[in-house]
Amino acid sequence: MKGYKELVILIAEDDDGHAELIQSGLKAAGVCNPMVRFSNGEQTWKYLCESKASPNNSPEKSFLLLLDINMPIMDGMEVLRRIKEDAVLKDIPVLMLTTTDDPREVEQCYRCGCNLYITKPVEFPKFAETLKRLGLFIQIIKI
Amino acid sequence: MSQDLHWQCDLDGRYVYLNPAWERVFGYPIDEMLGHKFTEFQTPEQAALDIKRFAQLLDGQLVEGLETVHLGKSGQPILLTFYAKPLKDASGNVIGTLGTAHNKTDLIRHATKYHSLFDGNRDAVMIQDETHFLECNPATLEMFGCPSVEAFCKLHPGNLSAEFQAGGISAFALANQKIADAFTQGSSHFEWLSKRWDNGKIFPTEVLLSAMVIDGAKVLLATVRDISRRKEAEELFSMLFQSMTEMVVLHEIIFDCMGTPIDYRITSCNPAFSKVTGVPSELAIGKLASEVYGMSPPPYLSEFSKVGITGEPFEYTTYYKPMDKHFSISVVSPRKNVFATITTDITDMRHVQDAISEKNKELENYLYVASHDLRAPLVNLQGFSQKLESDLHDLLQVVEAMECPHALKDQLSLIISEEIPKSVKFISSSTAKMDNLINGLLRISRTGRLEMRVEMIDMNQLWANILSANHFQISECAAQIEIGTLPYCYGDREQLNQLFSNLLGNAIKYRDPNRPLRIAISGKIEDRQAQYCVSDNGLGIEERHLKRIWDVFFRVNAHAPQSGDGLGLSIVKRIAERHLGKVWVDSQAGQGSSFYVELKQQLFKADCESEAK
Repeated sequence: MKGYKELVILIAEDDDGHAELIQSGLKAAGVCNPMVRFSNGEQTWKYLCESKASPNNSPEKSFLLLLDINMPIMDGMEVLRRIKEDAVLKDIPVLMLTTTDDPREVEQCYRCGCNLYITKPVEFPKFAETLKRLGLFIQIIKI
Repeated sequence: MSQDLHWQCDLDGRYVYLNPAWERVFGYPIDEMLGHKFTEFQTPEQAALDIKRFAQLLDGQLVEGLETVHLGKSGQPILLTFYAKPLKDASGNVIGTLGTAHNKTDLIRHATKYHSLFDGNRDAVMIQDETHFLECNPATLEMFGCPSVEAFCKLHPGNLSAEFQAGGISAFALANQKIADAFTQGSSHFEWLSKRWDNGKIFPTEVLLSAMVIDGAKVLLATVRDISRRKEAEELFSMLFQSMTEMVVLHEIIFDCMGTPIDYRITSCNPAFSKVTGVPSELAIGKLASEVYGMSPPPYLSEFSKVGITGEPFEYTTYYKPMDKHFSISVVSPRKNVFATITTDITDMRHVQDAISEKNKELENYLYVASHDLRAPLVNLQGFSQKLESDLHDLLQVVEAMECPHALKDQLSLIISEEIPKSVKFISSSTAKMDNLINGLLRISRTGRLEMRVEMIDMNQLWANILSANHFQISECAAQIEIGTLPYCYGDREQLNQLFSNLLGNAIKYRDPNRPLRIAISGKIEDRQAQYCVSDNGLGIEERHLKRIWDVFFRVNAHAPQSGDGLGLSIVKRIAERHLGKVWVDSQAGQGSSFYVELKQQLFKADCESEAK
């Protein structure tokens, strides 16, 4: 398994219930990748910055970010903007997960460079399939 | 023109000589008349009279200016005036008569005509000289309440006038002046304050004096017309014009040599105009609009000239920045190439409308925010209900595989496979309902927030699209659609499509299963608005529900299978409002419903900001 980068799924979601549902939903759909959960944009951003700087983080780790828009302190749009402006972080695939289907917001997210925009509630089997098709290394073990 | 007739008769009264004029006047060839008695050309009654006179003539009595009537060849009466004397031979014996007759027939006809014109004239017609009246017709006596022509002719015009005329001038002095003017200029035309002879009542008149010569004398023919009614109307209009708060300005269009309108000139304006614009009427009247408003071409030239040329009225609203006021302007054309603008201050009304619009936006925003925020907890409810179901499934399997007494297993099983799932199902279905409601609320609040692109809409094309989009549902219920030619309107294409699709959808949804569905779509122009009607022969709506059908989520029978989400008509109403239009319904339960939509035929500004950038 050399040369294989472990994909860590980052979940930025302020609602505990939603975060729980995403994690258990992905697991139930067979996704076994490690997941890290943040409650707001600031926490998320801090982690990402540290991941760049820290010598401990092996270059073998890559990320997938599930990002909610409405978060306190720093919202999803702001996090997205910062990520896409950063030379290293901009390659991280970002999936916006949110309750709103306001077309104005959708367009704004895509313009800022998100890879996918998904409205909650999420249909998990489909979602897992989409992740696979995005060409990400998601370890899926069907139960 | 009198035609002189010369004749000679013998002692029996037979014509022995007649000059050619007789043939012209009577129509008989001369030979047919010669040798006949003159009495043969008269009525018996007239002949009896004339025979007597003839006898007197033979006796030596001269006849001068005797009027008598003869009959021509076609029986027409000929009025003659005779001048006759006895005819004597060389010895002085009377052998007959001779003389001249003048044909007065035409004169009489003219005189009769003149008499009818004078006497029968409904206007007061009179003849006067510098000092008093000479003659007047019956209408004059009636107008002035004078008993007879004699009494009238004793009067001077001043006697039949209000003591002081307009401008405080003495009636006698002014009347004499008018008379003098008429003599020197040939005629004089003016308004006057006349007075009745019998009761002294003053009334306004219009007087025309014409100088002429009658019987060698210089006289004036006067025609007087009572203009009381006209004056009243003028007073009323003047009062209105002067006192109304609306600005009224009359203009005439100015054309270039090619007949193209290039400017317009102010011909009249009311006090309100000066008050509002600050331009005194002296500075506005007679001026070109390009001067007064300081721009060329002047404002609204093409719209105004169209009104003046076609006669078609035009209405618009505008905001006048210098005064921070909103005006509604109505442009009409009282006659060709002339137009009037009537301007009403609608600032207060506009403020109220704006306030209402603001409130609407506020409420819709609450609606949007609330529905939006309710989504988040709903996601949890739905998600965890599903998780409960799946975890229960897992638990059941564990229990099945467990080693324990049957009774206990059965108990556990019951709870896990029946009791708990039942509860979860209720929770799930309720959250699904909530989801629907919230989606509906979001949809309707969005209707008020969407950007509107107002353009001219070909309604026939719009309906063609709607009918083709709904082709499947229409043929599925075998509905017969009748659609007339529809007038155009102005609006947002997508929203109007939504509006009419909803109405069509309702007609299909609420059809009567006992008869084939017939839908009639028609349109007409009423009061310069486009009015459309979607009429069906479906279930109809009971009177007690009529008011509520426009409410969000209202459905007559929520449990009926064909029932929709209860939002269709609220959306229809909201879209109509955004188009500054109206919707209403006419319905009979058991017979069907007719939905009416009124939309504008002119460009307008949508009633609230758009959602887009």
